[in-house]
Amino acid sequence: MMTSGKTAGRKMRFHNVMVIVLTVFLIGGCAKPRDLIVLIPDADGRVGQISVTNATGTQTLDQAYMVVEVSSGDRPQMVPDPMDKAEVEKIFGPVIKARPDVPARFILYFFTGSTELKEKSRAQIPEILATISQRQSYDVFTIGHTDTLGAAELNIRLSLRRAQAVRDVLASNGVDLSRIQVTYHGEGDPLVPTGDNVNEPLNRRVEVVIR
Amino acid sequence: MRTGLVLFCTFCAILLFQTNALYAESNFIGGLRNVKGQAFVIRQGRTIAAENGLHIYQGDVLKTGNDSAMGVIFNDNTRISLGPSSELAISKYVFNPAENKFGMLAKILKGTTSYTSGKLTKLSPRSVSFQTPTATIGTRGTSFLVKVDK
Repeated sequence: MMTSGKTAGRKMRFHNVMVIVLTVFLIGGCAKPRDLIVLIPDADGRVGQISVTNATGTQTLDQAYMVVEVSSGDRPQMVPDPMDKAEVEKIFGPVIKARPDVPARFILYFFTGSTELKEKSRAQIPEILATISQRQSYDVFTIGHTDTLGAAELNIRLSLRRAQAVRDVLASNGVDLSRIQVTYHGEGDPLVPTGDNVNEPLNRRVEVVIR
Repeated sequence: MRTGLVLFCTFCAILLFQTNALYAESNFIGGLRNVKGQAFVIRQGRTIAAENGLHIYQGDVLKTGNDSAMGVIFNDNTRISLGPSSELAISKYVFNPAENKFGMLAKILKGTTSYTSGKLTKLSPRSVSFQTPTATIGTRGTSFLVKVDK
């Protein structure tokens, strides 16, 4: 520590700063940096479960606003009390505010082996167009699916053609093509999980997801 | 003249086919939303200004300035956000239900982040991993907040 002997005032200020810093260290107990992990409810109020693990141990959280603290090299520690709303807002206010909105989702259904939309689904197109416009969305995904009837390889191609068919309907109604993303999952990600080769109308679908 | 017309039509057909292929494949993994203040995406050594709608790719590192924040929505509806002075790397993102391939690894390097699960954990419960400098967070489908203290 270098103190300038130039003026008594300057020396005094430096000494004050040293005292403050030391006090903080003593009170804080030479606290190591700690990472905080807080479990929070989903949008629908449900609370899930997370595990926090490092080489020395693990903690599981399954109650809302419970906190685990971890310092480098130490076991993850459960904090006894949940974090109160004021502190959540103070530490995490901006990051919570920056969360993207839940996308809007529509499901359109098809006849077996076909890229033809069922009548009730065709009737949903105006609402889809209005939603795209109102949300000023950046990406509209048309996500094609099939049921498990038939060969998986053929169903991959059928799901693509279904997603393209919906894209074409949206584009012909004025939605900018560059904003529409076509993806396809074949028999994957069914709405209703079934065995192989099962006719399930609810899986023959395109999901239109507006983000 | 006729040959010219045929050539022209072929050229148009090729162009149309290319366009179709371009829009049929989306290899981006997500997009930015709610961008506030000065934020950036670092991609293979390049620094890109963050703005709403920008598409995100595996390997991107997201950074926010000290009065900044931003959100990302991924193709499976996983949602992540960053608070001020934060840095998050998207080391891995695979969402391919047709081939049963799923995986996500995100690393928060500093600042604050929020995570809300999407279809990845529904379809493959152990496929999502979140790392802080001190621990790994495993989730079966839920929401959580992280603050890295440095």
